[in-house]
Amino acid sequence: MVFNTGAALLDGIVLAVISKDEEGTYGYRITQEVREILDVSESTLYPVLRRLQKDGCLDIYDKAYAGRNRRYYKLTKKGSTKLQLYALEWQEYSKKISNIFDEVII
Amino acid sequence: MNKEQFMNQLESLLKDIPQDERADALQYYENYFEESGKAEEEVIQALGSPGIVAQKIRENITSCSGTYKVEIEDTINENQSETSNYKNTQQKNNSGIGQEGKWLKIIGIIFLAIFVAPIVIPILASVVIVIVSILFSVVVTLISLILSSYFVGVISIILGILRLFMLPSVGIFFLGIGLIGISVGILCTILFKKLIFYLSKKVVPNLYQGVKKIVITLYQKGRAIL
Repeated sequence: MVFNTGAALLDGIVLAVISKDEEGTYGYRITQEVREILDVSESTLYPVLRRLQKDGCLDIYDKAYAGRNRRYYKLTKKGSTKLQLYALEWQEYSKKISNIFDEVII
Repeated sequence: MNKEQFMNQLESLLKDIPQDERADALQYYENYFEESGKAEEEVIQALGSPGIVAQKIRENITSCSGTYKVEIEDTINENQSETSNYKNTQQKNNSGIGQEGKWLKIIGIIFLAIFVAPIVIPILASVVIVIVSILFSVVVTLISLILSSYFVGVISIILGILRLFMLPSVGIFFLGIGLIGISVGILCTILFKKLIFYLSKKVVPNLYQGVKKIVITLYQKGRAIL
């Protein structure tokens, strides 16, 4: 991990990962999927999920699975709006950086 | 350390945070161990010590009410001041120029549309087309060179083999020509491959970027005038 991931970018990626499932996903799976994208510690995700939930970007519901309880996280309307914002911001932000780095690569 | 020890330590480390936060966090990690299906030590290794996990939870709780919201407010304030600056400059532009300025602008737009654009755009396009056609003809020439050398080579070899039985020297002569032809063909194929590679990696992307830059610069200049 060369570049530091800021809190906002992490939020955006978490929201994006959860948005792929209409019914939402559960914490362990979210962690695995985010870790395919970013090299973050597995204990980093819970605070992010908690914060997004308290901000009203995520809803939670419990569903039983194989005799145990699973807590699912799902995007709220506010969450999907925020996700759109993050995605657009990232496009702007990354385009400029990509441009300058593209010119440099031999 | 096993899961039970981990969870107990975590619980005691979180004694100082609100009850509901603590319960939520403990349930999350209880579920996490279950979902993982991996050995408890493995999960603990991946999560880090209970201290680290508790630390992250605590940091999040304090930053939630404090800095996070402050960051948002700061960005909102920044945006507001930016928009007010923008509005000011817009007003300055409009009031400073006045009525005559508006007409000048309109004339400028018409000038651009009638004179500059119909000249600049075709020039740009024709330059690009010339470059592309030069490259294209080089490629085509090379291809025909390759094909003809192979063709000559093969035919000569066949002729050579035929002649070989009647007039050996002539046969060998043609065989020689044939082999030379084929080797020229192979050489040209290699050159051709390298050329294609070079074109696709360096020339085409640079050309594309160059044209893009010119178009964007023109567009921005046009907008600046407006």
